[in-house]
Parts: sequence; structure tokens; C-alpha cells
Amino acid sequence: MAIESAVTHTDPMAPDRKLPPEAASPERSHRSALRKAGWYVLLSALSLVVLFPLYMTIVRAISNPSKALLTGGAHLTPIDAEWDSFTRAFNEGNLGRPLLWSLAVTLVIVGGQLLTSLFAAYAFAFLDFPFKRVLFGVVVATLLLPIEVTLVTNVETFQDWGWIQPNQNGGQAFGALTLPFLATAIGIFLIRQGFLSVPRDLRDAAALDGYGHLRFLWRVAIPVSRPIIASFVLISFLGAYNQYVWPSASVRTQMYNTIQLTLRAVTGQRLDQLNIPFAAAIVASIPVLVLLIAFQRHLVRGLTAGAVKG
Amino acid sequence: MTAVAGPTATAGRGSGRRVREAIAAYLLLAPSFVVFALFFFWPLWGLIHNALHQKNIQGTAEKWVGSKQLVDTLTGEEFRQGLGVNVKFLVLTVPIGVVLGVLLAMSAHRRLRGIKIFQTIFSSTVASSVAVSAVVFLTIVNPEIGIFRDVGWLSFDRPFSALTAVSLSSIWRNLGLTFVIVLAGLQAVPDEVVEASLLDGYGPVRRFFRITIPLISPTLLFLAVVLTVDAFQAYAQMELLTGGGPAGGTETILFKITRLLQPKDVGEGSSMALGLFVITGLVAAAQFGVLNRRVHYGD
Amino acid sequence: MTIGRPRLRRTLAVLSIGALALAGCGGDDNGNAGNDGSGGGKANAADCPVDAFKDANGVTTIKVWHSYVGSVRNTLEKIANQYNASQDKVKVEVEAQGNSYDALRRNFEAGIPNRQLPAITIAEDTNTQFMIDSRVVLPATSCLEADPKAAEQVKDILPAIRAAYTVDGVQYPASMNASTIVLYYNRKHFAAAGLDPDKPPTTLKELREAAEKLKASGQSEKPLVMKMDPWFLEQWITGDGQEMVNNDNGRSGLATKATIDNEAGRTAMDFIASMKKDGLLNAVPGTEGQINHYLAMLPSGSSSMLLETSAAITTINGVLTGNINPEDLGQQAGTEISGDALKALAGDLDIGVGLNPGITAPGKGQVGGGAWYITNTGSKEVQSAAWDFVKYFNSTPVQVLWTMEGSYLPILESAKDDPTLQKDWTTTKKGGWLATAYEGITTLDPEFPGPLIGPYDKFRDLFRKGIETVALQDGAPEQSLKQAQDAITKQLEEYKDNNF
Repeated sequence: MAIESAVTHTDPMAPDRKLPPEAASPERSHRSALRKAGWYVLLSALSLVVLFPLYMTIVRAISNPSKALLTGGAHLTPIDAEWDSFTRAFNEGNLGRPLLWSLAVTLVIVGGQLLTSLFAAYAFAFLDFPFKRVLFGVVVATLLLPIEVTLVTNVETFQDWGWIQPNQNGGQAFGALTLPFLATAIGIFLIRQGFLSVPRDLRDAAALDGYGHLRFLWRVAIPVSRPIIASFVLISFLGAYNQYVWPSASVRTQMYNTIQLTLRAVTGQRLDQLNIPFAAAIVASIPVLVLLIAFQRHLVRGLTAGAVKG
Repeated sequence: MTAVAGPTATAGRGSGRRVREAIAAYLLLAPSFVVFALFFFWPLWGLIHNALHQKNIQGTAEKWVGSKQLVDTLTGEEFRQGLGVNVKFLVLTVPIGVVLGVLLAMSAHRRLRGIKIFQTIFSSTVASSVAVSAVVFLTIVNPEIGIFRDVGWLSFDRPFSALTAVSLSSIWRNLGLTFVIVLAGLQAVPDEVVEASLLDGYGPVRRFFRITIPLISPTLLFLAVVLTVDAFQAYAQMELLTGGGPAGGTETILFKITRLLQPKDVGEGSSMALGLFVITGLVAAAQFGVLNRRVHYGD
Repeated sequence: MTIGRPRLRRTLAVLSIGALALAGCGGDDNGNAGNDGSGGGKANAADCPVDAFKDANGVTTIKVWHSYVGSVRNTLEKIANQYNASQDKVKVEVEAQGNSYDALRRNFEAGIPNRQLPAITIAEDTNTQFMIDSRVVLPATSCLEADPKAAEQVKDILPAIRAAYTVDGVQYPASMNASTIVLYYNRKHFAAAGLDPDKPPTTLKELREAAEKLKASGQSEKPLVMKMDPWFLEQWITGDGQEMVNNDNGRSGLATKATIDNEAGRTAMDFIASMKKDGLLNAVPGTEGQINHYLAMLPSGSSSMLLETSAAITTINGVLTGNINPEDLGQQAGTEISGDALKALAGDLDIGVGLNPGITAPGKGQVGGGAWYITNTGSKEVQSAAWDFVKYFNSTPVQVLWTMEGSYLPILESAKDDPTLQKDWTTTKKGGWLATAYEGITTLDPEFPGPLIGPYDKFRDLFRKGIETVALQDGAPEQSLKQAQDAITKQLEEYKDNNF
């Protein structure tokens, strides 16, 4: 159909990968090469600094823990490195379970945020209704109330429901971990931004063809805004997965620790198995690193959504 | 944004249609707003309620104390100490964070083969959470196993040096985010302006301070606000690296709040949370206001 | 004014009627706790349904909350299993609530408003006043009066221990786990420094002299190592017969002022400050899960003397003999390490154990450890079943098992006199250490059993901050002490105000 094809050719949110213009003045080739070499040196040096802590973590993760303890524990190079110390750390530290648990919680949060934000953004972008501006103001207001501020009373709420208590079971923990985050202002903003850029003619054409709200949402609005929606999904994932404050206050049984909480649990536990916390840190970062590398463009767009004008 | 007629077209614009549109809108908004009501606004009301009441030590009853508890808590030793920690932490992390972000972005914003690799490396710390970055920095600053454990200004024995050690982990963690944001700002600088400055013979330094910085100032402002809010919400990195020590010297406001979740402490905890709420809002607004005047929008 | 959430309000209404009925028998509460003594009123035999569980249909299940790890936890579970196997009316479920007394207290506190409490909780010794004020405890005296045979069983409890947990004539906990502070020292270092390895220091002055000699002869860089935990200073202050709070150390009424800035307090703080200044003290921060103070005693460490709890005796013995479960070490420090690794590190250490050196005399102070409280929020069947289990726990054979495998000190003379125990104490090294520690608690003064402080957690927190300021940041001892005292006074006042 005409509309569908029009949709796939529109990408108003394509990022600009602009690089700076070249200097106008002519350069001798060797001076230019020297300058380039200089930049490479600087960039490499900076990269080393950025990667150094990560390097240290890997070193500790693969070093033989008992030997490491005997030499005092602070070493720059691996001691008796064994590549299977990763797998062993994984098993000893029981890292598989919290990782899966974290992923499950994160997926539910991301899914919930996506759904609620799509609906709300649609309403704000395409519909007219009383109190629209007020309600939008309410959405903005929620930005001032992150979980860090509302911690105390949100804990109380779940305590009243009996979901945060010493004998917490899996369902209660899962509910406590996910419910407060099923909607977010950021999602509404970003997706609304994407929806607003649906070209007027597409909207009119759809109206003429008698598209209902849901059909329009599914067939036109979402496809057109796909890049920004993808960006939102990524930063939503990042935020949910990396959370620490709320899980630390709401999970009462070690069994239902997220992977971030597990880091706290395994740090300082076994002196002669110091590789476990560091292996855990690496394991915890892998899902996000994978996403970062695979979807760098979208992630960047999501992170910079408020930073750049125009 | 103008009021837009919905995608469903009918001949008449009767009130029946408007009503249906409104109902559709409210239905679509309902899921989000239920979450907002339950977990954002109701708790805010709860904070105010808690701050105005004092529970007994058994947590079974409460009495009205008015604003006394709120005032006492916010002017009291604990809150002031926590606020001091947050402010020091802010001073340690925000300026350096912005400068490093600019440094990395300026370095990686050029035509060079393989520049994308460097850009990926610079943005990689985005993948580390607060917990991960804290554990990573155990290898560097922890008094037992850190390689810098003998460095005096990172010692865990004194509050300020312990805070400095914690700041390192946060600065590192934020490198990726700051890089990405400043780079985006640089990429949005219009070609014409840069070309014009080159034609005018601006050297790199002059170009940087007279052209680049003013043009990316909105981005830098945004970055500063993000990092500042992050600094006021610091907690996990302290818990994992110093446990709040020594002698409570690295306990931020949020850290103290997490220790005040017991029924008999919620009055105090809620008061602190309200303080945090107001302070964060004020700081962000002030930063925006003050810096906005020095920021250069458009041309 | 009651809490304004509909479901809670209804529940509380029902509960408060029940509580009032119970309170009617149990004496006054509701704010009068401070007036006539700090107790919660008289105990009433009628409150303790000794045999109710026997008439119940089926099995009564009761929960026991604790925070033990390692060998202590194993022993507790073993005892519970034995009890369950020995009869079929009561089933005991032992539940760990975190790894520290603090975590346990937090969970217990969180359960009070909604009455989500276990039948028995094993709380830290410092919680006595709070447990009384919580109004959810069934005083042991009620049960002892209703069950004379049980009273017989525990009549030989050490007087100092009974005194510590009795307020206004009412004993609150039904059983206790006792531990005290002892001095672990390196005998080889002592001999090499010209000190008698069989005569460890008994006063702070002697402690300093020993440290000076050890340092001068090059045996250790910082001869004395200890965690900056207020517990040590509290022992010194109480051991010197001085009060830490007003109102008779909190025993004749709720304390409203801290008095730690007294002669003993200043002596203790000065001791810490001067030892640190002269490089004789290895001050380890008082955070939970610290193990560095133990490590300092290893040959690769820098200390020769360690002040710590007697409950570490079996663990330390395990380290030296190589028979240690990683979890056993975890009990002391929340950190685990394999026996082989530790043995390699321990080498040929020869450790001696002495009484806690006091300001003027050794071994004095206040009893430490934990206490068993039965809650009154459960049904009659549950409460009576709990009492039955405690009686089992207090029986001599079980107490002997608890001491020998759990390493808490015997609170009943009959347990101490048990032949198996005596054989262990007189023939093994570890037994000898336990005997020394036991000597310590027998010298405690029943007339001066230590303070009763409601907000003990805040007390410890503020005191710890003061001590750490002195030990780690060269703060002025007098000033830190006074500041801690003022801050604690405020907490005490708030506690009293909020006890409505």
C-alpha cells in the first residue's frame, strides 16, 4: 500500500555522523603524517587510561586466587592465569542465576515501559483532549521524583502489601522489582518526539483511508519512529539492568538478588577466592557491552536525546 | 504543536467524536498514569505525611509533630554531614567529568582511519553500572588489594581521601556518557561556522575557545546538570567501596536514607528524602538558570 | 493517631484489642515504661501457657530466628533436629536472618508493626531494653512462675548473667548465649621480647608495657591489633564500675543522658589515642565483615596481641590446627577462606589466651553474646511450644553440646561441671582457652551488670564514630568522647519521647 511504502522511506531521526571539515590550508604530506601520528599516539594513550581499570579487573578475574592472596593481593599482572577460572568463578559464585533473574526483570521492565510509553506518546502526539497540557505537565513532574527520592515510602507501600518482608518469595520479589518502573517520562518524551515527526501528508493519507488509532499506531507511527524507539529500548534496558538502589532496598532474600546485588554479596566474601567478585563484574557487564557494540548508533542517539539542539 | 485532528477522519466534528477521542486518549494514558500515581505521587504524599509524623519505636502508632521533625532533621548534624559529602563529591566529579569528556570528544572528533574504534573504546564505560565500576575500582583503591593502596590522597583512613577514591570510580564510569554527549554536541556544530573560522585564520586554540566551546555550551550545560544530579544521588559506589566510612565520612544523603527505612526511622528518612528532592531540583534549576545566560543558543 | 491505611487500620484495631487484653494481665505500658523502672511491668504466670501445645490437634510449628553462621549455625540446627526427632507435637524451624545481629534486629523490627514475628528470636545482648519496650516479648519470668520444674532447671544460672537480663525483678529472655572478650597473644613473640608467655598483661598499663617491649625487640611493628568497636571500651568502662548512662545505667528508669565522658571513658579513649600515636596500635575500622585484625596476627602480619570475642576460640583453634571449615571463619568475619590456605599462612603460631585486660583489673565488664526471646504475638499453642523448646535447649546435655560445638560459654553451672566438658577444658588447648574465658564471666559483678539502653544501635554507631575519629584521624580524645556523649544523649531523649 502506498502508505506503507512511504513509511519505509522516511527516517527523520537518522543520526548525523558528521566529521569536521578539513583545514583549508594546504599541508605538506610529511607534516600531515606527523600530525596524524601524534593524534594516534594521543588517542592510544587515552584509550589505555580508559581501559586500564577494565584490564585490572580481567587480570584479577583470571589470576589464581590462593597464590594471589599469598603475594599480598595487589598485582599488576596475572598470577598463574587460568582461562577456566572464569567458568569456575561463575560456578562457585553462582553467577548464572542472578544473571538470568536480572535479564528477566529487565525485559519485563523494558516491555512495560515500551507499551505504556507508546500508548501515552500516541495520545500526546495525535490526540486532542481536555487537560492535555496539564497532564503533560504531570509527566514532566515525574522527572523530579526518581526512585532515589521516593525510596522510603515506596518501600513502605510494598511492606504494606506484604511483598517486602523477611520471607519474601520469588513472585513478591519480582513484583517489587518491576512494578514501580513500568512507566517512564523519558519514554513518553522520546517516542512522542518520534511520533511528532510523522509527516503531515502521511497522517492525512491515513485519515482519508480510514485508519483507526491502533492501525495507525502499528502501521505508520511505529515504523516511522523505529530508530528513536530502538534508542529508547536500549537506554531503558541500560537503566533497568544497571539499577542498584531500588533492588538493594526491595529484595530481602538472597535468592532473588539481581546481578548488581550479587556484586555486593560476593565482594569481601571469600578471601582466598578474590577472583570471584571480579569475574562477577565482568559477567555483569557482558549483556550491556554486547548491546553497546551491536547497537552503538541507537544507544548514542538515546543518550544524547536531550543534549543537542536541532 | 497544534491540535491535530486524529487520523480517523469523519465528516463531522461533532462533540461525540471529541468525546470519543478524549476517552481514547485517557485510556491510552491510563497505564502510565496508574504507575505514576502509585509509585511517584502517592509516595511523595507519603513522604510529606511521614515527615510530619513521628512513629513510636515499635512502629505501631504515630503522632503528629508538625514541621518540627522536618526542620530538625534538615538542620541536624546527620543531614548536614551527608549534604557536605554530596557537595564535596560533586566538586570532585563534575568539573573533571566535563573536562575529560571534552578532552576525549575533541580528540576523537576528527578524520582518521580507525577513529570509530577509538570512539567505541571511549564510550565503552557506558556499559558499566555503578556497582560494576565500584568493584572494578577495588583493584585500584582498596586498602588491601588495590594497586594504589599506598597513595596518600586515596587513603580510606580519612574521609576526604576516601571520597576522592570513590570519585575516581564515578569519574571513570561517567567517561563513556560524557564522551558520547560532548561528541554529539561537536558533531552538531555547523560546518559553515568552522569553515569560516578557518578562513579567518583562527588557530586551533582560538578556535576552541571562541568558537567550539560557545557552540557546544548547551551540550555542556546538559552534561553538567546530568552529572550534578548523579552526584546528589550517589550511594552504591560508597556502599561497595568504603561502606560509608571512615566514621561515616563518605555517607551521602541517600546512603543515610537507606539506613533509615525501619518503621521507627521513616519520619527522619522521609524528611531527608524531601530535602534531597528540593535540593536536587533547586540545583538543577539554578545551574540551568545561571549557565543559561552564558550559553550560546543558535547564532 | 493510628496509621492511615485502611487495611492496616483494621488489622491494628483487632490487634490492639487483643494487646490490651494481654496488657491488662501484664501490667502497664503505653508510655509509662519510664516511670516506675525501665521494665514493662510485672510478669504474670497466667500469660505463659505452658502446656497449651500438648492439647492442640496436630503439630505446632514454631520458627526460631537467628543470625549465626558456620559451626554455631550448624550446632543450632543440629539441636533443633534432635528436638524434632524426640517428640511429635512441636516442629522447630530454624531460620537465618542475615549474617549479623544487626540484620536480625532490622528484620525483627520490621516485623513488629504487622506482627510478622517468629516464636523465638535470638537477639544481641544489647537489645534487652528495646525488646522490653517492643511489648511483643513474653517475659521468661512468667513462664518460670507457671512452670516450677523449669525454674529448677535454671536455678544455677550464673548470677551475673541473670542480673544482666533481669529488670525490676523480671527476667525477659528465656535463655542466653554468653561470650566475653579475651586477649589472644603470640607466645613466641612474648618469649623473644623478654615477657613471660604464661603471664599475659592484666591491665591497660601492662598491655602498653608489653606492647612497648614487643615493638622495641622488633617482634612486631604494631603489637596490639583491635577492631575499633565500642564493645571493647564499654567493657573497660563497665569493668571499672562506671555508668554509661544515667538513671542507674538505665536500670531504674529509661536512660535520658549518656555519661560515657567519665573517668573510665577518658582513660579508655586516651589509651587508644596514645597507643595509636606511639605506633603501638593497629587500629582496624569497625565495619562489619572485617577480618584484617585476624590477619595481622599471622606471621606475615604486624601484630602480636589481639583483643576479640571468646566466641572466636574454636575458629582460631581450627585455623591453627588446619581443621577449619571456611564457614567457621565466616562466622567471625563474614569472610571465608579455605583451611589449607589459612594453614599455610598460619605457619607455626603459638597462641595464648588471657583475660581481657581492664583499666584496673582483668576480665571485668558486662556479659556479651545473645539472648533468646519468646514473642507474645503467636497463639497460645505457639508460645507454649516455644517455651518447651527453650526448656530443651536449657537442659544440661544440650548446653554441653552448645558449648563444645558452638563455642559459647556455659551459663549453667551444671553444664560447666559436666565431665565431658571438663575433660575437654583440662586436656585440650582450645578447652583451656575456653576455661580462661569462662573464668572471665564468673568474675563479673552481679551488682553491676552493665547498662540498659534502648537505642543501643545508635549508641554503638555514634560511639564507634567517635572512636574511629580518634584512632584513624588523630582526633582529640576528650572532644570526640564529649561529642559522642552529646549525640547519644539526644538519641536517648528521642527514644524516650517516642516510646508512646
